[in-house]
Amino acid sequence: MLFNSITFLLFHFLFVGIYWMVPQQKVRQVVLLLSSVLFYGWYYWPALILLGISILVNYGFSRWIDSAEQKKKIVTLAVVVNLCSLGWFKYSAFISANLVAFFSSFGITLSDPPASAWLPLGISFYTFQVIGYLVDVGRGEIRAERNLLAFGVFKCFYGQLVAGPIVRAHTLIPQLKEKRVFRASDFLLGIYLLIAGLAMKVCLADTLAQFVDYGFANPNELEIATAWLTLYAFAAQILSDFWGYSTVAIGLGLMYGIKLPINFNLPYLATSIREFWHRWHITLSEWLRDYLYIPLGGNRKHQHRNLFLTMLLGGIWHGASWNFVFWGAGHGIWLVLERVCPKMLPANRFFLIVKWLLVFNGVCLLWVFFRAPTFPVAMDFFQALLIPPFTMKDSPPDALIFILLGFTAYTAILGKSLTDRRFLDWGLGRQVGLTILLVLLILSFADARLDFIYFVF
Amino acid sequence: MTRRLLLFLALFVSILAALELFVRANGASFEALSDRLAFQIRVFERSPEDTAALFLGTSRFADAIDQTVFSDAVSERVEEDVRAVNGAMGGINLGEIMEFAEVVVDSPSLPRVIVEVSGPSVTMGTTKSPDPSSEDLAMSGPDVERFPDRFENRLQGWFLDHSSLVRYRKALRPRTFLRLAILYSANFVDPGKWARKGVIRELLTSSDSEIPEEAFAALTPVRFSPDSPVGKHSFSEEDLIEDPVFQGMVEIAEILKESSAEVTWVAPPVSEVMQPSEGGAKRRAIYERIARDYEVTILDYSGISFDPAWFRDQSHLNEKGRTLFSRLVARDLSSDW
Repeated sequence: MLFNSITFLLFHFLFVGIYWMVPQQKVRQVVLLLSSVLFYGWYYWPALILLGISILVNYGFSRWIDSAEQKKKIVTLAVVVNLCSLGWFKYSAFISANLVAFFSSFGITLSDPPASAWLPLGISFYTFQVIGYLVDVGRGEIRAERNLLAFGVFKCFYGQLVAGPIVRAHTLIPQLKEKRVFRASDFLLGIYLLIAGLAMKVCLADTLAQFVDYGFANPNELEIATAWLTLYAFAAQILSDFWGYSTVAIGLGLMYGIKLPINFNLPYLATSIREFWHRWHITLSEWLRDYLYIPLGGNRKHQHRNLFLTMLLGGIWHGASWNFVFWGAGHGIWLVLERVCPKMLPANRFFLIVKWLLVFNGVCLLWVFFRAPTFPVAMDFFQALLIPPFTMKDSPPDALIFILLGFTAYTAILGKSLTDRRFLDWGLGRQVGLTILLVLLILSFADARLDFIYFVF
Repeated sequence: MTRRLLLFLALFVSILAALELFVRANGASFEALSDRLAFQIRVFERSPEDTAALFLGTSRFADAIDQTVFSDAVSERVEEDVRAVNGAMGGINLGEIMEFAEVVVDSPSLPRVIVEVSGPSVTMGTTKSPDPSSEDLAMSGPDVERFPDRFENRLQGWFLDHSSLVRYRKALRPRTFLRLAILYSANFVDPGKWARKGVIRELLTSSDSEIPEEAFAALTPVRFSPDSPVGKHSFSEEDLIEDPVFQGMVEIAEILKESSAEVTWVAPPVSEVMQPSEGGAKRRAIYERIARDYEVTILDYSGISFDPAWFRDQSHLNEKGRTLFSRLVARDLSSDW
């Protein structure tokens, strides 16, 4: 089920109504689990089997870790099992294709080994979430959850199951177990976030998608101005798409009285790449820091190697292709360089703008690897952007310029209200007026329903 | 806060309900604002009674004809005030052109209509309805096999059928303000200006439209009229009848023959690489046949040598090309005005 569908809106408000009508928190957990199972199975029901197995296996592992003396070994085993599942479904085709190509360069012909035919929705997100949980139990930071129902909801709450935010167990599980009290303020904020997030997805991301899709399908046809605008369009599209999704997820959670962490905080305002990662996909950045960077040694030893490896693996987490390897490596190298030369530019207002320009455009250039379907297409796109001779016979589409201006206006005016509770401080007229305006914008732009970009990760 | 939430919900629902009623009460206007064709027809219908010519066609014609330049050039030649409206638009298909042609038939005061000879991609198009109904949605598309998609399509169809706010939702886009401005300024500002690609750049750059006179004089179209001698060609009757360009022209000509307006067909210029191979013998045969059967004049500019600098792409003229071509068509039509 897609957030941007009428089916989902009916489904959500039906289950929210049932949730608040039943008084016992245990029954509410059942409502949440049932709704999440229905939500996930609606998209592709066989995926429920994998999700169910994952819930049971990880529940068993967590209990085993909790009771064992040699926790580390069991944690390692549990993590390996989860990574194998992720690897099979997400990376087997990529690995087998590269192995076949590698051996064929030595004249050895291999038949393609079997690979997964489908990618279960949100597998990367729920795998990372549960690995974090297992490691936390292994470290003794939390106790293993005994209530299978609560654990099941933690693993598959539909608000954040498919594309995050990646929630830590100590944040979510207590909220699932304690009796939630209906708070009108949370519900009101939830409605606003749901609508504001959908507006980002439908009006901005989906509209920009048509220009981006065309540009990356035909990089050789792009003149320099159109190429750069297409790149900025993708930067705006991916932020609107993913931030929109996360905002909807937070809104849905609030309507159930559950607070989920924010995932974005105006990332394109960052003036350093480190700051960018503190503002972009915040829950993934924190996960990578706590469960990858620190276990690798963190700042204690081989800091630069750890940083590079963390970003490289973060890139690979996004997808099974060399483009994501280059994207992750690019960010890793940039972070290391920033650590090596922390004060390359003076700290005054002028150079702050220079830094912002460098960071924004650098991030955009790395997006080329992220968006291009193949490495040669990425190279073609770089050529259109950076390699002379530059041509400028035709002006870029006016509509693209207008939508980019719309994106800038939207994030400038409403961006902060998606990260905190300031909406509740506004007057009733402003609250209603803005929400109605967003609903009308969603209606007017609602044409074809497109999947969220992060559904494939 | 509970009171605030209830007030919020009550106001929210009331405003949406009021909007729904407002849109229902003004359905015709919202339809025009939510659909390109309905909008273009509305612009034409708002034009004054003494409109002397209507251009009908695709984005190529929309880009190729500046109605102000054309009107001024014809007025100068025939020494009377002539006003033309360019009703051509991008993204139009055969069905939509035919729908517009029906409007021409219902406009007895319109003396002349100039129709673009469109390419096969347009003439092979089908009639487009602005929004599918629930039945269309339930019957169409490959997704209907999956229950979730079928369910969602039915829900969407239900809302489309029962809510005017949803049906005419495109009228709610920010662009509507532009459309309203176009609609109400159509009598003194060329509406085509706003619809053309690169309008921002054109507004920001000064337009240098000076065309060398010798170049202008040398550009003459091939003219096909009802009494033109029929040339020899090797195409069978079947070859012609099955040609999509021929079929498209016949569909439109059949409608326009009911009109009191004089019909002229114009094939706009294309860049050299797009010009028909072997001199466009089949096209010539089609034009001869249409001119004779429907007693119309056809001006074919597709074979003339237009400077590549006058195109914005292979088949669309830019600002300079548009000015030149509008004057050319005015010159070639005003002889029998």
